[in-house]
Amino acid sequence: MIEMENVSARFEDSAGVVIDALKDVSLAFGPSTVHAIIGPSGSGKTTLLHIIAGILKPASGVVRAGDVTLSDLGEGARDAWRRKNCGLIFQDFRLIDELGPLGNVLVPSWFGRNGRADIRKSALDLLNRFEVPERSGPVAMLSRGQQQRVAMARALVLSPQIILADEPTASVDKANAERIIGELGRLADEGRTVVVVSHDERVAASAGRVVEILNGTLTSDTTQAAPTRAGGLN
Amino acid sequence: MNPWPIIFASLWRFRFTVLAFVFLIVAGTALSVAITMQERALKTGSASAAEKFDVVVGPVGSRTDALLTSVYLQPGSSRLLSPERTAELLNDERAEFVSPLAFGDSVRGQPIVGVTAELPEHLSGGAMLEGRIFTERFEAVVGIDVDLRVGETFTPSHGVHAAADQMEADGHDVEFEVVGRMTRTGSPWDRALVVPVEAVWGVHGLQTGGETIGGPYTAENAAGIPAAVLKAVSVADAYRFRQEYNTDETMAFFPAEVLIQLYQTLGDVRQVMTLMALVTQGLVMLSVVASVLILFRLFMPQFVTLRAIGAPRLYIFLVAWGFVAILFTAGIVLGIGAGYLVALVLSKIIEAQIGIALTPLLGRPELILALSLWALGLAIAVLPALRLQRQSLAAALKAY
Repeated sequence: MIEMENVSARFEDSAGVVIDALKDVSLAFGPSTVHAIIGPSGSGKTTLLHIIAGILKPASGVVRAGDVTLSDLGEGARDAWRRKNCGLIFQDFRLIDELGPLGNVLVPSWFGRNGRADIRKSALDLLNRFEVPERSGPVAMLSRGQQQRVAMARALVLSPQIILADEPTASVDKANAERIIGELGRLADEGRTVVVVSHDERVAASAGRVVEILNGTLTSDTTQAAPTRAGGLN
Repeated sequence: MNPWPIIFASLWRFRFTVLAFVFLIVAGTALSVAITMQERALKTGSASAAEKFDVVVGPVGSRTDALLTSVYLQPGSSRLLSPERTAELLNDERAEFVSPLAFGDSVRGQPIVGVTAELPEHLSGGAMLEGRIFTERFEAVVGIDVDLRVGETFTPSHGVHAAADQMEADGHDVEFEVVGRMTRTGSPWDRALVVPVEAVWGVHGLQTGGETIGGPYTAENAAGIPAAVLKAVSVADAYRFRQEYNTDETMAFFPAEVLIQLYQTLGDVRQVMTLMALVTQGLVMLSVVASVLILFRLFMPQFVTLRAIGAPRLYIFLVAWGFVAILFTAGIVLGIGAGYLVALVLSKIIEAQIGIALTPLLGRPELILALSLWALGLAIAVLPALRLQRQSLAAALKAY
């Protein structure tokens, strides 16, 4: 369970003007649900996601993840927490171009003491599950759909309990978008907490809960009893 | 923590840029290493070539000139000792031997040196490699690199000529037979044709010594000589001869004392060249670091991604530092090898020109130099890595 209490975030733009990206937001994200964060560009969705991930420390308020008060931790501790607990998926995939698909999936295991042989097996299983050939040269040679699936495999390789996705369907075609939406639902069904920032109505339709943010303020929070799920990846 | 896969993948992705950087570092390092190795090889080779010459005696003049003439067989001053002084010197029975040195002729550009038999025997370590020492006026022993076999004959040409037609035009009307070959001396004497001094005097129309070769010499039967080599029985004797033969008419010196002066001059030049090489190396390193900083802008999306998915700052530091450190390590290791090869090639060229055996060896100075450059390189490699650490992750995610 991730809890946010009266969380605010501020930035200074290039002209030195202070922008309130989030204003007193209080939210909780439980397991086994896809939480869709929607809202127009610049509304604070990605900032919210970064705060949940520990990438950004809130200007005020408290963020808890289980027993850990994330907002009290220093950067190094937040990195370690994120490494252990979060899998991140980005709109533009953010793969390491120099590496192949398997290398990209294995990357998170190189940060700590995760050099176990079973990590490699997990990575291969994930690539197989997501239908990405393991020896297909540099990752940049893959289709965009395959690249996003490699990014999903990377997010899952250390079996994190929290999946944070920022516009995961924005850069892929309809078929791949539906597969990704289905897979996110499946991850929630496995008991994970899935938070997805998206403009995509299909993502919102498939989510168990839809949170809308406008100008850094929570404007609606809706639970959907019967979300529409696409097929997923097997 | 395992930064290597990212480092190696990045090195491969930018392999041509990486090769250019490594080449720059190799060139800078090789220059520094080759200069110190070459300087030491020259010192060692020249000292080794001179070590069998105890005391050199000659007419008053330039000691460097006399050293170059006697030990290194370089054309020098035409000043000669008077026949009286020559006879007195050559007959000095307190010395183990005193050999005159008489020049003026050559065969195919290789010098003919007139001496007494003791000198080639001494230079050859007491025995000939092949054949025997000369016993007759027109017999000769040759250095190991002379292209004449025992039993062959040669006609000397006046002066030092390379062209065969000139040799014939200026040839003397005498013929020498090669009767022996010296062992390797590591000096220009390896390319010399050594004959009795009486024969050299004779073909130039001067006095011809006594009835037999090798003395005794008198003011009447000896001609003037440009230098003589004196072998003393003891070190104390050598010092005494050096003192006694430093007169108004003659000078005497140990080759080592003149070499030390030459080395000091050489050392000053070497210091300037080494300083220039080090400055070049420093500039190379800084230019590489500056270029890497630019290159790292291309890496920034990857670094930001790594941070976003949980890589600690230390991991990013290790990737960035490891990348640059590998460039410097490869450049410096290859630079040592290249420097050694450059020194080897230069030594062969110089050896062919001056006849002194030069053996460049990698020693402590080169290793200390290379280690210093390496340490400096690794320290400089921290700069791009540190620069990456200053980025805020959230801001970097937006920017990249």
